[in-house]
Amino acid sequence: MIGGLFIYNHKGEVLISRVYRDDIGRHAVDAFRVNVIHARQQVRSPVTNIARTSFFHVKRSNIWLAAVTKQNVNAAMVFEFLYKMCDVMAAYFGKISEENIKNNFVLIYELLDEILDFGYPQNSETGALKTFITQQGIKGQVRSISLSICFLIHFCFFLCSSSPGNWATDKGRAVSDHQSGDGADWLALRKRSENHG
Amino acid sequence: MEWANQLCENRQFGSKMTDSKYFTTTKKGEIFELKAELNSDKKEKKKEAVKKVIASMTVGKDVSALFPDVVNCMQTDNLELKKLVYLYLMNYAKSQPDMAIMAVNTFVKDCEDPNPLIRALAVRTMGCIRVDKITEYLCEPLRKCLKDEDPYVRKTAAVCVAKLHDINAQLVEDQGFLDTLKDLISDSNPMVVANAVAALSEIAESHPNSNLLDLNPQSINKLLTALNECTEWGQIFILDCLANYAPRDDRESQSICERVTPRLSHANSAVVLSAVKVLMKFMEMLPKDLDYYGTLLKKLAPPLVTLLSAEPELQYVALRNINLIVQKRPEILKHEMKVFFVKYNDPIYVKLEKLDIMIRLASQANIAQVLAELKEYATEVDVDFVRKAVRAIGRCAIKVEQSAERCVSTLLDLIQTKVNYVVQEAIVVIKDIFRKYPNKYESVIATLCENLDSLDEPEARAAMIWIVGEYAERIDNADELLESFLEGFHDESTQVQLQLLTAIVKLFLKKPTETQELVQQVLSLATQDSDNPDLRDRGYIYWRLLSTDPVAAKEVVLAEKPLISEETDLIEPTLLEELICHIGTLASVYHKPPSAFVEGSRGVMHKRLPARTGSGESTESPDVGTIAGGSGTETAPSIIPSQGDLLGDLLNLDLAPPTTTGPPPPTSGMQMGGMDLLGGGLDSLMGDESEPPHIPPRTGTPQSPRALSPIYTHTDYTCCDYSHTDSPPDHSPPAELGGDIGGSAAMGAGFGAVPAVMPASLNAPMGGGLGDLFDLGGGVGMPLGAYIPPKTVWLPAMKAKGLEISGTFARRAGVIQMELTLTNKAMSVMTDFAIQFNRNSFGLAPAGPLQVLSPLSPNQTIEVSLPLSTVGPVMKMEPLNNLQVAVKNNIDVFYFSCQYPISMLFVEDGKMERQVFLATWKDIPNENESQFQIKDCHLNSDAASNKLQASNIFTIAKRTVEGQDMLYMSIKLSNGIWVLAELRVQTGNPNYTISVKCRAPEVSQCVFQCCEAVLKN
Repeated sequence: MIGGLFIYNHKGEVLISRVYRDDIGRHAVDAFRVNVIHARQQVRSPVTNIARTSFFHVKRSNIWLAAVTKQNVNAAMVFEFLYKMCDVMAAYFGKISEENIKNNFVLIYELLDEILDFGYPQNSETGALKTFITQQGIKGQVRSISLSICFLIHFCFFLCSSSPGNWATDKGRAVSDHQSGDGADWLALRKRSENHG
Repeated sequence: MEWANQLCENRQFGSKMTDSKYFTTTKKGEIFELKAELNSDKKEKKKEAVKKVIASMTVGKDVSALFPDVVNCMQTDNLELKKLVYLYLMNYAKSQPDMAIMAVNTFVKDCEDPNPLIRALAVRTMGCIRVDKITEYLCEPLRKCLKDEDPYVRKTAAVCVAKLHDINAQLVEDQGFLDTLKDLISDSNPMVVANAVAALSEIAESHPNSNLLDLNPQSINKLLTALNECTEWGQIFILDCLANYAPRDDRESQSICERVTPRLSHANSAVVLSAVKVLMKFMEMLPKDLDYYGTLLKKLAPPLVTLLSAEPELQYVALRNINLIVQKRPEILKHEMKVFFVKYNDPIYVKLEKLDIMIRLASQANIAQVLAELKEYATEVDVDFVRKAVRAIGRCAIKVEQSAERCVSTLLDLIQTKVNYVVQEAIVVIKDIFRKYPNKYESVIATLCENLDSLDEPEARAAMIWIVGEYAERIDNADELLESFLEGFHDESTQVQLQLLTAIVKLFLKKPTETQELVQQVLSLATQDSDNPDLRDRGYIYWRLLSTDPVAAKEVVLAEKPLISEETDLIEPTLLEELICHIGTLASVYHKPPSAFVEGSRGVMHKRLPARTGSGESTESPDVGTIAGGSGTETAPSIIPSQGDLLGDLLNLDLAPPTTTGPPPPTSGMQMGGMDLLGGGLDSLMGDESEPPHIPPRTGTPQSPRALSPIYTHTDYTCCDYSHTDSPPDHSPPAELGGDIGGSAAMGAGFGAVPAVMPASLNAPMGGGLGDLFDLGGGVGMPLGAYIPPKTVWLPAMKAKGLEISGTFARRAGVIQMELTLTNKAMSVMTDFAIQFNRNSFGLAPAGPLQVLSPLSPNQTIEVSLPLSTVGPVMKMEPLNNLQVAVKNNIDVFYFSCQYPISMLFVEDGKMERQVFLATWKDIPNENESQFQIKDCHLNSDAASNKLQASNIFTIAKRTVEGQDMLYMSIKLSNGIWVLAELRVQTGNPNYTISVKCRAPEVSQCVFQCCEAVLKN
């Protein structure tokens, strides 16, 4: 399974580093920077094996997202997860940029803790996630009036939706049956949206 | 109220706006400041401080000194702050194990919290803290959480078991967590099931022999039910786990396939690929004539095509996998060529992979389109891509004969562009085209020669030199061209040097008068001035050959070369099978088995596709259906020793002394590059480095048998039997040895290697007398080889208008070979030899034509070895090992029958697991057991075991009861039948008892005869 997750800026500086497995040493984060980001020749594969450690990377604008493992993981799953992670981050704080990542690093760690457990991808539907990772993302520095209004609406929506018994998914389906506590609600919801998806 | 809330949110918002500043503070005394802030009374300030700590941690600063202060912040109602503290703990607990214990109480308390999110968070985090003291306290909370009422907690606890197992496997077993985890597979919540499956699969991987997952039809049914309900990730876990299941029969296999098929339309590519893996694997078990089989094949194409519209990284993974799928089942995507055409904005890694698949799918039907595309690609900018495109054009020419002419003219057009790397690449592939279609496109040589000066890459230079040497008689200034290369001989790479040496020798043999000086020059450069042993060796061989017998030299060096195969870069079949079992994973991306890139015990287990015959029961009397059906998978190991990757096998062959009992398996020709490196270039003695190593034996000239025999050893069996070169040629037997035909006299221990040394001009009848002779050789210390019976006369000359055939059977490196000695005792020349077999019990059939390349003149004898396959038509014979053969020559067709020792069919992977052996032994009814006596055998049990092992009769276990050694042995036949045997050896008693048990009892007699023959020889 995924042993660790790193996010770098275009210079190769680490913005986020979360290690899930003991077999991923502290040098791994540097190995990727040296061999891929700073490589003399452009790297020609999204999967790189460096000293028996495999790195999967995707790039969003000038941000590098890298998953690292020492096992024979499901490669398709790792890439799907990296894309999903981009989606989740975008849903919380908009464009994936160095500034936004730095502004939201605490949120990102919280998300990573939730959507990847011991390297196993967990539920990562934004709708469901927003029900229990309730932090708001910080979107860009430009605070035009329209954006503020946007936020206000968003907050109102959030406040409404977070009151028990009356919250809705982002797909707009209301969930009324409550089992035991938040987690169970969440799971029931998850089950539904999955069935429809 | 609402406004108040908003205000509060906004304040939080405002404070967050400054999060990025944490990345920039690098003041001195920071730690001290942070310490003060962490101990502040104000909640907000505390939180800010912890955030700063985490930010410092991320950028690599050491903030472990703050450990106690951060842990103090742990007891809080604020979930966000709690999570931050936990994050810190996970990072630093290991470096401060003593202080980490401070956190235990809070953890244990949190595990009892009424909020399921906090319970889950606590157990999740505890599992990530790899400190023994914490782990001890984890057990109780974990046990509770595994049975928690909330599924969110249970699914987190399931993963936690895997974490704990990673830290302390023994503890997990002792505490019985594995059983609880197994119970979770039946949980009502699909996400819990999925996580439990993921955890169990990973734990099971580190215990290869445990029966942890215990997949049975009931549990499979549960998994399939959960499959429809859980998240995309859960579906992947479940599908990957399903792929490890071995269905009992084709019906179960079909029903699983039916329930997995809907996953093919999932939006997540990984779900699709994992579903494809399950289907590809279970499909192996479905009978091919089944309607459903065809339907399933059709259903596989659309999802694979859809994967190509995913993001580029996923396309790459998909393409690497499609590459495997196309090799295993070309029929699935044969009509889908267009989707693999390269788009201008594809990343380079997608382009290169698409190109590979285009070549694999190229056929007569689509070749025009493909060529048009390739021609366009050859004008793009990316050098690697252009090179590959040019190479692809050449490969199309070799693959689709009808297109060869068009391909060659396309290549010529490209050469005209004078783009250096295009020209070089084109010349390399044109060389291969010459090899495939000799004497057809030589008119282009002139154009090639024009570009001689621009070639600066070794591969292109070597290819050009080969072309000049090969067609020296048609190139007027061939000697000048080669001489020009000779000037900088020592600066060339080995590849070019070897090629130049061979080319000049060829030239000399074709135009001896003008080139004597040149050949002497190159021979002296190669033998006297070079430090490269390969080059020196080859130089000496040529030198000796030329000085001893130019006629023979001509026959050797200018011999007709076997045509190169269509597909040169196919993945070796056993590896391909293993990779099919790993579809979607890294192994399938690297095209390497997991053991090649994963450390430790994980992934070492080799996965294999299931056999079509569900069980061994139906093999009682082998009928065409089962044998032909099973052959796809079952014969694979008999072609290639099952040790793993090909390179390893070749290395073994190369380094081992004559224990290796024969030439490398013919399939090694597929990986020519590797072969050349290892074989020291000797295989290219005949001219081209890409020549497959199994060059058929050539006729000898009666005049000089002594000098020639060692050379034949070299040319025929390139890299194995080095030692024989050194053995004095005095072994050439006098003619009177021919007597005692078919005698069963004691054969030398080294007889396994004999045919390799056997002089080519030896007169025909060879039997016990010859055996005696080689017995001497055996004394020199040649190790044990597989048992090969002596040659016997199968067809006397009187019955066949002067053609006498004697022969035997051997198994060398997994290949069954029929070794024939043909003698012409008539007055006229014999030509046009061909061979055919009648249907026989084990489907033996010639794997290639009978290679008698030059006419057999009167009184001449040749040795031919004919590789056999076991995929021919099957008919039960009486006796079982009877083989009816027809041999044709220019005079007539002759028929004879012979019996092969069944030990030829014993495959290399016939070693059964002990457990399986016990179960199978019990499983086979007692009436199938037969007992035989082997008399007068004077080996001790270990020696017997070794001897038997050399013939692929594997000793599984040895037990000593009251002075009696019992050896338990297993044998696997090439058609998949297992034979179990028990050999009783009593010290001092030369008579052994052997009990043979097999589901097909008719083979017992033959097996016994073989054991007897092996032990006594």
